Amino acid sequence: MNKPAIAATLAVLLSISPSPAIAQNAPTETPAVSGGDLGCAVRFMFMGMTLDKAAQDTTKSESARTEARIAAADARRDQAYFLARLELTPTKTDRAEEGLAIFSGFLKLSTDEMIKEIDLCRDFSRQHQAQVLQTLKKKEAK
Amino acid sequence: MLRHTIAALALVSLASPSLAAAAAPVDDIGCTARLIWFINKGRESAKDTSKTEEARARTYGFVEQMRGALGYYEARIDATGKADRSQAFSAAFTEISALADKDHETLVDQTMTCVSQYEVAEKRVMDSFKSKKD
Repeated sequence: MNKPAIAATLAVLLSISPSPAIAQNAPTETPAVSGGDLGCAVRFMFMGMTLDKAAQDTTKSESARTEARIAAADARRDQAYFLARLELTPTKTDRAEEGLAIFSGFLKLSTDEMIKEIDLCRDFSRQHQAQVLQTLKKKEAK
Repeated sequence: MLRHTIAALALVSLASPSLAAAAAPVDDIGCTARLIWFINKGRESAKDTSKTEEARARTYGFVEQMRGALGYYEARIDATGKADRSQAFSAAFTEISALADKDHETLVDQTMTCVSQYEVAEKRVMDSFKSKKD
């Protein structure tokens, strides 16, 4: 195969691999916590696990366990939101050290500070999800 | 189990229009529409007191799982900008209604694919958190 033919073949292959939308649409705006999207994903993983534990804790009342289960499902949706944003960030395949550092830093915070940071992540996620849902809705005729 | 629950919910549905593009691949908006549709069905079903407690709890678990996947697709759509997507979403819902009425197996398959795509992506990102030194 001559050089122009190889270049043409490569151009076609690159244009269809692996998901063209990913590189083009990597998020630019990030939540205001340490680690950005990764930081929020780590925070929601921690929150989800903590809430799952609470939901299974038989020493708690049935209503407290139900509340924890619902909150865990909410956290999972927010977690998925940030995981998708991470997936849209190309070439990043090793986040172990960074994730661990964020997690260690987060664990050193007071409970109030933890809640504040999780709220920042949640607000970011919810605001963006609401914007997306808004674009799906039919516009009322004026 | 998830497939069984999705299939049961699809059977409950009653809808009409013509069956169009049933086998078409489902994009992010299509997956979002399917997840929203099943979440709504699931919520209705979870409130149905004529069902056993176990069935309602199972349905509730299914709704929780769908909501996770929904967050994933919302982020993907979010990354493509703020354009009006109402027509595409409306078309997806029309297609879902037709499938629910006439070919719920396809609707279930498509929704399962949406969930699987999310799970694969989730695993890929989760794997990137694992230390490569192990």
